[in-house]
Amino acid sequence: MKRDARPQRTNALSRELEDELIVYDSETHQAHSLNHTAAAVWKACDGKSTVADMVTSLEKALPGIDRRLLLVTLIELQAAGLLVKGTFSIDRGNSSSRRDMIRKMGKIAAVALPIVISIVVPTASMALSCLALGQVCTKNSDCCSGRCGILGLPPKVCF
Amino acid sequence: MVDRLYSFFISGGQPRRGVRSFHLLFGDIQNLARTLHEDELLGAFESDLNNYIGRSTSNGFFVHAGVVGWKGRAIVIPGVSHCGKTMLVKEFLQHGASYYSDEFAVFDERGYVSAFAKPLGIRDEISQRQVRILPKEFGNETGVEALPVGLLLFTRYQEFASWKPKVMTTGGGVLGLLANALAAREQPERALTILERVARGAQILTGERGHARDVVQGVLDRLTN
Repeated sequence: MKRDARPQRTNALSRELEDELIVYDSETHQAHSLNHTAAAVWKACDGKSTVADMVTSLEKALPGIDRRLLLVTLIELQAAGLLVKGTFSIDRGNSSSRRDMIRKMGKIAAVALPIVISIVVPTASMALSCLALGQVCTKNSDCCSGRCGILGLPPKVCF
Repeated sequence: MVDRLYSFFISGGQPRRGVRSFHLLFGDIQNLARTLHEDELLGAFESDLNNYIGRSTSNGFFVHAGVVGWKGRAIVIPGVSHCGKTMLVKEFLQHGASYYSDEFAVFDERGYVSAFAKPLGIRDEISQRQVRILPKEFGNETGVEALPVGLLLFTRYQEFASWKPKVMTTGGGVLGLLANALAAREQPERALTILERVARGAQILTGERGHARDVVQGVLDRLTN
């Protein structure tokens, strides 16, 4: 990681829940659920603060946070595509893996680990339950009947 | 102004040996169906029309789900086809729930769910073709009032699985609903607002299930206690 890295969160829609944050990225159409730790760190990624600054500023929201936990969280956020590219990257060759970091953090980590759950929001056609009989299909799983094939001439249809 | 143009081509005339005459359905310029049977053509038309309405209307937010009413609250079972939601709906009806939908949960801006009560589409186990059954054949009424959601049930049929549900967080519930929504990409802000309201007031359970009867009894006991 560059010493002067200033992680910046992506420009995305967000909604606060009780102890979580839902983030929707309209460019990638990914939705994410961030737990308290991940949400606090993501919100602190203003593109101006360095990692050292962030450790200090997050002390109140996340008592006991240290550089290692912050790095683990940033790695999670980066992997989920929630940080602007180029504003944070960690050189995995010189750093511990996430699992190593978590092991080293021991019990403190067990109560404060960042959790980021992500999904790709489907298009309307992907969200369709299935295709009805006679509808044009490409594979068996497209069809409510589970059967997609050629009746005479192409195209394939559900039958 | 025409939003979407459907064209039906019904094959007619004398059948010729060695030639099959297909009925065709187009939605705008897209070929939606090609079949020898008129009922299949109409089924394809209904399916496409429902989905078009679901993704373009501003009067409701559509999520693929089965829905029943139970003591003034809705039980919503989001999921794609073949996850067994219709069987769960049928089982809930047999336990006295009121029918709302076996295909779409239609949420309003408050996060309440309204009925989309077309007949249940139950698959014949052998032919896999859907048979339409009216809810009153189970002795049940169709829900009229919009209901707040009491339970979100994310489950999938798995042979030999036993029902051991886990409680999901509200955020997990919102993600699960987004994954089954028709127009989330087109209206993400509205989707988040509505689905957050849906999930906030609900219990949210997830788990694989075996027989629908075991799930339904467990869920109704949980809601009653």
